[in-house]
Amino acid sequence: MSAPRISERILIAVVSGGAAAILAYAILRGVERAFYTEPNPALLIWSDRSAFLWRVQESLYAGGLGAFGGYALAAQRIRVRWLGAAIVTAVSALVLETLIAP
Amino acid sequence: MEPPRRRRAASALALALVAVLISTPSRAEPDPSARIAAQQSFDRAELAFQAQRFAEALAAYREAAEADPSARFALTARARAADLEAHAEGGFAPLARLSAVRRDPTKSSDRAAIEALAQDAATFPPGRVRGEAALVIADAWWHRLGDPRRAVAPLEAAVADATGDPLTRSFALSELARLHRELGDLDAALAVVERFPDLAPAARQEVQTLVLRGRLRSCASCVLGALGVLGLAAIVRAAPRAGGLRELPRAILPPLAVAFSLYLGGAAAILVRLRGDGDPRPFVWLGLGVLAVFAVARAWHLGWGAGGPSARAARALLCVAGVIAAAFLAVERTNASYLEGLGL
Repeated sequence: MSAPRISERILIAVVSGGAAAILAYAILRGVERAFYTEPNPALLIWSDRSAFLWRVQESLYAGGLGAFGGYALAAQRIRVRWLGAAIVTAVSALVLETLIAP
Repeated sequence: MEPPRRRRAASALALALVAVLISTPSRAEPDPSARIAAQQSFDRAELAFQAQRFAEALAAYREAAEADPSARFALTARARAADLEAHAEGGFAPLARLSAVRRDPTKSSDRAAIEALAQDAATFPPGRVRGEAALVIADAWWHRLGDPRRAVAPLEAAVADATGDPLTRSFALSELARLHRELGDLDAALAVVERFPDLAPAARQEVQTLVLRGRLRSCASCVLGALGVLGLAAIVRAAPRAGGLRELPRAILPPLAVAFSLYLGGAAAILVRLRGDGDPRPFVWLGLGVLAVFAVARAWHLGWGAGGPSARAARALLCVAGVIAAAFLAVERTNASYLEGLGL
């Protein structure tokens, strides 16, 4: 098996970054719902932070880490079946999170 | 019910409500002479208290409270009488001796006055005043006279005094643990809070957490030290294979590793800054720590080769331990409050 080109590695990195970000968001939201009860937004007069935006920022950060991981893994001369599994896992986690802890 | 009867019933109800609202509650007015006598007793008690005639003050407070229990000062009189009763050991002589120092800022900061109080306190009878005197002495040595080591003995005495007030003993124990920590003797702080486990649970928990942190810090330092030694040996072996010392940095620090570490520390620091109230330093140090561990791993690979599966597993385990150790030290050495969320 030949080594992937740089453009292929970047593409794999972007996809794995997206999968990592989605997975991170689902995990963050699940943990937040399970362990940290947030105040009712209707009862808040004003808040300078949006919990949703903060979760998105953290998920994007985790996605960046995932992109580095994907780029490094893409250098290995192995088939990228792991990427499909990662995408399926991330999407499943997001669907589960939406159904169980929206 | 017919409409006229309904109106009459509503009118009667309204009249009754108005009568209730405008009527004054029937309350027995106190006897004016009793109120005046109570006020005089209370004033006499206050004057006696200020003049440190505590027995007289106690009697007058009791009189005031009994003469007019509904007076606005009756609650204060009862509370002060109860407090004086609790400090009445030795016929108020210990309390008078303590108050003479406690109320005078000059004496509270005078070495000779504190030493004299300490000598007298050793002869005080069992009771609350003995423990409070020990606290005053300890506070003077620790804060005002700048000799914290001399505060240890009076605080230990206040903690060990079983006849003292439980709150005073609890406070003394917390202060003693804090003093030992300030003096850098965490083992002594742990020993004293373990000797009285139920007296100050919060202080005990805090000291136990600090001890655990200290042990984890030692472990993390050992792991990083071992990695450092290994890394140096690996660099010595790897240098000729990499084409000399000049080529070595490029060999052990590829651009991807540098970019990853920069992202790990830098992006997290920016996120923390965006949040506004966080400390970005742990994340910056984490990025640098991970970069160092990566360099060691690469040098190891270059110096001794990939090796068999067991060697690779050992290298991976050690590097994972190194990253965890670097993460712990990065947080613990810069802003340990982040560890509280993890129970550390």
